[in-house]
Amino acid sequence: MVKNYKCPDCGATLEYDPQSEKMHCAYCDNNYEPSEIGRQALSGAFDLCPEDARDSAREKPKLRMNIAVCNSCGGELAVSDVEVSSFCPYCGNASVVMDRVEERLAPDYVIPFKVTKEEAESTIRKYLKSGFCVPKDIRNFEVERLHGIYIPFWLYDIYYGSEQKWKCKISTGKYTSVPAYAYTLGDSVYQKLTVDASRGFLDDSSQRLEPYDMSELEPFNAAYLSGFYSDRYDVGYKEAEKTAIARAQDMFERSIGGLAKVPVESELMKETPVQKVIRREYAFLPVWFLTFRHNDVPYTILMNGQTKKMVGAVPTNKKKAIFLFSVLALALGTLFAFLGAFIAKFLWDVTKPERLEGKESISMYLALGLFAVLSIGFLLRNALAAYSSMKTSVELSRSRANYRLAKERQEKT
Amino acid sequence: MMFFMIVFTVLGGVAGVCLALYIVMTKIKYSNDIGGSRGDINDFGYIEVLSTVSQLNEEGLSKVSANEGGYSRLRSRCNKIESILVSRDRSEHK
Repeated sequence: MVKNYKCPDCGATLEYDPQSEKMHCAYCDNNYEPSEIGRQALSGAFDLCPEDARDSAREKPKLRMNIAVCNSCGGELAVSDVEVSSFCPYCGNASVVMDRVEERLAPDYVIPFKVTKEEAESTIRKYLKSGFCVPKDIRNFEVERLHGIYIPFWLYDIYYGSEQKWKCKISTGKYTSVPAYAYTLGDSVYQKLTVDASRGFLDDSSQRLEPYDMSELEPFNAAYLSGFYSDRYDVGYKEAEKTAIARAQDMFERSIGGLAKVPVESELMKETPVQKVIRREYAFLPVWFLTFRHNDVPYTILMNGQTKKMVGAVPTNKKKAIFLFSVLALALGTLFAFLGAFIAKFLWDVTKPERLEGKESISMYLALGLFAVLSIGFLLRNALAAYSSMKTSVELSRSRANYRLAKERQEKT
Repeated sequence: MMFFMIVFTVLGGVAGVCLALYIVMTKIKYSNDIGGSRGDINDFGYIEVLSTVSQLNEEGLSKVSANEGGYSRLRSRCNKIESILVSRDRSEHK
């Protein structure tokens, strides 16, 4: 069954408005609290992942379409296996697939959209327009799709602690060291650690949209979905739990060494972890998906629908980048070459008295040469790191998975 | 002198080109990469160092490990934190 939320005054379909945080009627311009319109009587209790959803989560997702009937116009609405809300292709009304919300697959919480469609588009446009190396046709991109989608997430409260034994070295002289050991004991607590429960949404993308402000979590009310798309989970909680614990472990291990002042270049010999999932919940979190095409390649820019955090990258205007590099390389190369020659002459003059006494004085040259080589290494490493990071981000933006998640939706007419 | 002058001139030139490459790559990254980095531990919770000792020998390591009683201490903290979170959740739902 598909439900449209109706305006009590004029009977038109209501949609959730992120700006006013109320249900808005576009016809009579009235606003209503979501709770007035019909809170879904959900227990909020989390049930075990039902067998059918767990089994289907293991399979490669097949986008079979189901037909639902719009209760506004009687039109047939094609929804995938996971869609919870969409739009009727005939009357354009926002529609919520109630049997996917009323049963045990309902979320416990939702963070309603805080960013409007117009704000999302204008913020992304503003950023891309100001980018120095952004190609011209991307600066003035034509929006192919801009969809607000509630993505299903599992939220975990996790305890992770570990006793660690490290092998390190203590320096006993200029060139000698002896083996030594270090001991650390620490723990960490995570609340509402997010793991995305949508197989079609790349984990790398969903993690980059973090963090959400969990103080704005609302008890679930299907009225918030009206006007947006949403999918129920197709990654079971047990599968997601492994990802959550792995993330907790990773964050702990990245932080504990520095905090405990473990010597650099220490090797972890043995670790005895204690880990526990204290609580798990299921929530819908808001994400804007903006897609456009450049040289016939689709790109998807994501925006956290609560905090406006953006995720995505666009290709570079190669000609501009090469021109900039050529000018800078010529200017800086010449400047530093003259500087190098000046320093060589300066050192030669400074060490003249020593040479007159018959003493060799190349140590200063060696030291400076080493400094120059290390600086070159540092600059090259960081330049490569920036390039590699950009490449990953562009590939994510070009990912067919995220594009498909936004594209395969019933369009609002 | 000529030798050192040539070496430092070349090193300086190479350093200048590498600096130019670094500036361009960084500029492209900030211009074209809209952003997005994973949340870290401070976004979801906190970490606490309960004990840290370094510069131990093998015997010292065993002694410290036995004294600290790491595993049982962590288990007890885990149970305590779990009961705090569960009772906080219950009182919020009332």
